[in-house]
Amino acid sequence: MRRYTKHVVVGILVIVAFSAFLLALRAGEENKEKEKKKEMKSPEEIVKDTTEEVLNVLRDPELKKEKKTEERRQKVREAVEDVFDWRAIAQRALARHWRPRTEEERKEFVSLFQSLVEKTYLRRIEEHADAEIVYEGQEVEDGYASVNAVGKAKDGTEVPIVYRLHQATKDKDEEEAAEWLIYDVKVEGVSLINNYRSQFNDIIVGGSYKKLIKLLKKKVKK
Amino acid sequence: MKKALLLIVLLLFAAGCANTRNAGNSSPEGAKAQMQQRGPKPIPDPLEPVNRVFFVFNDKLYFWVLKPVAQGYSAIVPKIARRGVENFFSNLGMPIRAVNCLLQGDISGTGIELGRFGVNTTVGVLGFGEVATGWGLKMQKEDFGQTLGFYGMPPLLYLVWPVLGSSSVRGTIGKIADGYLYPPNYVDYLPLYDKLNYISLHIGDYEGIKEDALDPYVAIRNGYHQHRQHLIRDGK
Repeated sequence: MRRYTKHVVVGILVIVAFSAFLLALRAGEENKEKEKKKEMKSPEEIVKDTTEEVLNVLRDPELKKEKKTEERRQKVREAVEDVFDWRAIAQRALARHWRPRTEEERKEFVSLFQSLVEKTYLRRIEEHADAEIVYEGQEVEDGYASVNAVGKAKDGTEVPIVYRLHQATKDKDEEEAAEWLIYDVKVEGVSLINNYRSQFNDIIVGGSYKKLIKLLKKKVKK
Repeated sequence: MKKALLLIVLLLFAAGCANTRNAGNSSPEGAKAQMQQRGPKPIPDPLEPVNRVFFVFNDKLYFWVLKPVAQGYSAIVPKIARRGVENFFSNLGMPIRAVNCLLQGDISGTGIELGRFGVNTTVGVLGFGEVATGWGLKMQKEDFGQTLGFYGMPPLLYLVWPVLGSSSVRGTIGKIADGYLYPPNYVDYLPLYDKLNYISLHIGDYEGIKEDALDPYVAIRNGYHQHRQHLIRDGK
């Protein structure tokens, strides 16, 4: 009898251990699949999900209250932070004035410009939180993609929007897989980067890089 | 007389630009090339000092006169009515759009514009209601400046006109030509009302652009140029 019990106990233990092992294995695979899925998110899905996330924050009645403005902005900032390639945006906006900058200057510029774009983007999107965004497909080629969308306001006005993405790694020192990152947004044919580039160039050529930084700092603080 | 003038302007530019059509705007094909292109070349602005003076003038005109008047008007007339007025004027812009579709060889575009006019004028009650878009007849945003661009004419110079704002040599010729095709221009003060109504519906737009910019003059010059080039390519 005792022996028999022992067998049963051992048997059960073996079964439990084995199922646990199987479960762990499956969970691991599921995780991998999840990771894969995240990697394989198409440019359109990335834009869609991000916009959805931002609009959800803006439409949240709890966060709409006056007191929660800072919290709301912080949440939007978090949603947006990881899908934009801030360094690429800054580099393209500075264009030929990027090369002469030291690494420190570049870092300072990226962070200042990021704050400015976030501010711009935030205000714009807050104004149009009730708009509906219709996606009209994507074009992908060799690590570059554009996602076409139309913003439809409640009063019927339509604004074409194009998001441009490229496949890149956020931090060049780290070995991570390349992901789709937004590097430009075009609204009614007006590219954000191109617009800032023309201003930066004018300010640097007509004044100096220092003057540009001063102006940026002033703008961001406001 | 006016018709004759329009014809001359049309012929001159159609002829002058015909040969440059292919040499000009050769937009690179393929998604990648398109994505890597850095947008249109900047618009030449040798008159910048003068333009900036008019820019400041227009800025003050907006904040000191146009905006307060438009705000007063908005307080009296509800938004729905102002939208209706905007639709009414936009419907009367049909001849400009239809003719310029035709000039660019877009016969179906002309057809759509004529269809829109028919629908909006009848079902939309004199154009106050905009029904046609819902029926799949989208407005064809064409004007003579775009037609000139379509045939390869560059904008030449950036111009800021007092009151009228951003333009170019190409855009100004286009506006003058289109003016003959816009019925409200034949009625005193009607274009002024059109403008006031328009401003009342777009209060905040200019302020937003100014707020985002480090140099509003340059930002608007660039935005004007990019937007016009975008329209000439028909959004492609």
